[in-house]
Amino acid sequence: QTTFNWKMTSAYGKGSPFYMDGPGSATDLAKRIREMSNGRLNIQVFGAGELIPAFEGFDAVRAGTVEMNHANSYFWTGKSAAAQYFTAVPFGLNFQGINGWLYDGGGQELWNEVYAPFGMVAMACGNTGVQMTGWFKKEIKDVADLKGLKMRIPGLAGKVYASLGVDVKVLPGGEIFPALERGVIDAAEFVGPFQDRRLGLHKAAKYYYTTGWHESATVSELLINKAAWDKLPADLKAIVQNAAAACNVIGEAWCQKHNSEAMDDLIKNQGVIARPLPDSVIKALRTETDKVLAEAAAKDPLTKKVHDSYMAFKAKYDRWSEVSEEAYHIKVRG
Amino acid sequence: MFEPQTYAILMLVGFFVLLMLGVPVATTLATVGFLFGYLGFGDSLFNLLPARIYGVVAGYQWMAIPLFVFMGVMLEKSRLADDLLDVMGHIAGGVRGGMGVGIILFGVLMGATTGIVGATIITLGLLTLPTLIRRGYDKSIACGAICASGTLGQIIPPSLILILLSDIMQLSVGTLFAAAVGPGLLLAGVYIIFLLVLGMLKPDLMPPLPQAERDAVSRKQLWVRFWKVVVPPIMLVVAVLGSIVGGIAAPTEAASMGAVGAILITIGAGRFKWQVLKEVALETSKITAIMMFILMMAQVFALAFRGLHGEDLIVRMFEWLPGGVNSDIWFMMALIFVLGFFIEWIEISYIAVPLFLPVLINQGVDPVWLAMLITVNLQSSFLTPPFGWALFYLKGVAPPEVTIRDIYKGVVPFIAMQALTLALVFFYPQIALWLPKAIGW
Amino acid sequence: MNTAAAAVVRRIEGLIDAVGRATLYLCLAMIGLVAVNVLLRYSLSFGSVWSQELEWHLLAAVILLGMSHAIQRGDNVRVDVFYADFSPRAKFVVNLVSLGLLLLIALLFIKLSLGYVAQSYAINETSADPGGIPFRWAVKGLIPVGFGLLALQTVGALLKLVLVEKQRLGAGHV
Ligand code: NA
Ligand code: NA
Repeated sequence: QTTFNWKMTSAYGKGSPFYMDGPGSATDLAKRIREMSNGRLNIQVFGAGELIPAFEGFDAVRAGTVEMNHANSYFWTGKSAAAQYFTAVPFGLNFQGINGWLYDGGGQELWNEVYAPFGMVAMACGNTGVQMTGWFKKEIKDVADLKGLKMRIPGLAGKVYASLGVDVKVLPGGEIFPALERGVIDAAEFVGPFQDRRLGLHKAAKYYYTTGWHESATVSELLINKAAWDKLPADLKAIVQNAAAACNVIGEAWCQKHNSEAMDDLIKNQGVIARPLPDSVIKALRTETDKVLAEAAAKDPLTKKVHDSYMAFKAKYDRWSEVSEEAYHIKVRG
Repeated sequence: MFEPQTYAILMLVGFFVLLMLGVPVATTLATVGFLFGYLGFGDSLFNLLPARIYGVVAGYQWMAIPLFVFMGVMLEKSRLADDLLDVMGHIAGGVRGGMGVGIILFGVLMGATTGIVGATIITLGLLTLPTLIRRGYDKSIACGAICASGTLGQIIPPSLILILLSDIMQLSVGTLFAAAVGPGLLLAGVYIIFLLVLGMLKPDLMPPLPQAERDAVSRKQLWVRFWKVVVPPIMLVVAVLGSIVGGIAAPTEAASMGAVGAILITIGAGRFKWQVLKEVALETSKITAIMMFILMMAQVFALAFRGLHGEDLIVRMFEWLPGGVNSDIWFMMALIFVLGFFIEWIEISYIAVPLFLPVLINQGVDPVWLAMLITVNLQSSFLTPPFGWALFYLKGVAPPEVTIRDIYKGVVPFIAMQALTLALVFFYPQIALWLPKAIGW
Repeated sequence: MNTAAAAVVRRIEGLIDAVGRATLYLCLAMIGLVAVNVLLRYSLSFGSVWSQELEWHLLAAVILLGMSHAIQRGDNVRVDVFYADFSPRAKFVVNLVSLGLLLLIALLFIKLSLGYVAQSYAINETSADPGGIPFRWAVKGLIPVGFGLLALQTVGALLKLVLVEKQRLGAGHV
């Protein structure tokens, strides 16, 4: 029997909780695959910077120099605009919804279609669950408060904020705290309670707006070189797929536990004020998001195809969740 | 064919040999990296090299280098800082080593504005080294003081080391910044005491300005010159620091305020010309390019070291450990120190920290304290020959009569003082831990 | 033949010098841009993602286009502990070997990076940020360009080294 020795890079540093360390992380995925395959598929995991810089995994897997990369697909929007949808779009699906679309609603097939020209396949392999709007030094009462607000917010959400007058600042992770603390920026988005607390953001700003309208369930992506994938026998392929699906759930579960603990601590012990954004602000953000997404979809047929599939699924899922999850949370749970 | 690890050892040996023969540092790094990499694992992994090169040239954090270099070169070219140290010497009066102390203090101020070692060393090297030598300072002492002063920037926040460690160790950058203040100032204090004591024991190494020359300048004249030459550079540092503290600029971009300030000061002094601006910009781009060129070539070496499983060499050494928290910590410290001879701090952090961290944290070691021990220790990697960034930066801008041998000789006492400071932080953890607790970071 | 080689050396040095000098304007633009971005954000809360990206695009250009010029000006740092005491002949050999190695390294970098840039160009890679600079492949393309200049510079330096050495030996015989 052939033994496969693979390399997997990550966009996150060695030791990052959730992404690189702990249940459902890249390291955990490699361990599960090794154990299930009885050592026939050995994956050596490298944190960001060890072999390549954080955001170079796409090219490395494409070239086949490493077989796998663990990151989020929206880092690759500069290479293929459609990649955004396989991580999160603003006002998008929640954890159950995105899994419904990916596993059973045609999402997985589209994901592979988007990566086919690059000779890669991908699958979901973790999820942060709903993230947070972010940390604000001042209260946000209505849309006017966004005008001239200096905020660290990357990506598509940044563009949406910018259209409402926010001054979007690009900052590497390490500079968020000092910049927010000193008031170089007035607000910053990072991940969720557990990760944000580790960065110390609650010591720099008191208002923690909820919830993650821009990232309602952020998918971790396992990216695989297609040629390498095709060389795996069927049982190893099944092992990889099942390990990834396991990590998808286990990682999200880890986030639920740690975020609920961290949020309790932030509110009870650290004096953090957590509240949702005002309705008027959410409405304005939604309107702008629809425009931005429509604009992106209009530029490229493949993006449009993915967009349409995603939105069609979402429309159906929204109607269902309204009478199921939502009704439970609002009327039943108490 | 050997085991990959054997090639890793051969690579280190080859690195030493070529370096000692006088092959340029950058060429040496890439040559041994390519040679032993190809022998050990073939060419596949080198396909990742362009990604690493792109990571270097597109690295936002390096933006601070040209900004600070520009500030330093502008001060030098505008000839405003020509007699900066002379004035400091006048102020120090008969105190031997007074100008050396001035350099350390300047390093503290610069360190508070940047986390880039090269920037401080190049600025100080350009501004002060020629004057110190002309004033009869021992070349080695002068070089040692400048290199040590420059590395202070890596412990006094903001600092790239602290930012990277916070990422690898998953700690708050704010906590690490606060914790580093104590050890950073302690290190500076130890340097200053050393220079003053050395000045008393061996006055010839660091002569004060001659009595006659000091007498020739009246107190009032000195005061005027103080305002003209000492205050402007300090004001630049204040401008940079002030723009960070005042919430105007993020740490990396803050240096641009210093660059603009340097132009304004030159204009104010009536010495501004387009020609000067162009010369300064050319010098800045040259210095930046060569620093980054060495860093790019270091990528070949780092990639090969990884590909040859150089980190396994360290794991094997780890197995010899007798056990016990303190011996584990000291082993880690010894390892980081030894690695500092060969490779640069970024690779050391990526290799050594994840290796020891879980073991030490499980034994209840305070991660913030551990991060400070690592940070103090990593200072040495900048200074330890043969591969020390501080040494190369200074050599790059030093007058021709300064040899790398002078620099090597000069940094030795300062490395010893870093070891002393490391021991102090080890035995008195509160040096690092009280400030974060006191201000609640 | 020597004069032909000398002419080649002059041509190469001229080109590297011209490109190197041009980076001074890129450097000035970059420093000005960082300062302007800071001040506009602080005073008017005005900023854009592309102008922030332009900062490091310019830095990449300064580095990759400027490095050959810096090396030509003799800024390539070496450890001279033993080298300083070498005979002229030994110094010549060390320099000859060093330049030969550097030429090989530059060529390897070109070879390795061409595929990387082609991948990016083929998909018209843009910034991952919707407000960023569209031509991501262009900044990546500076890598082979920069190392192309380095290869050229090294060829010039090799020719020059040999010419000077010949002259030195010739002078020794007179
Ligand atoms: Na610093
Ligand atoms: Na060293």
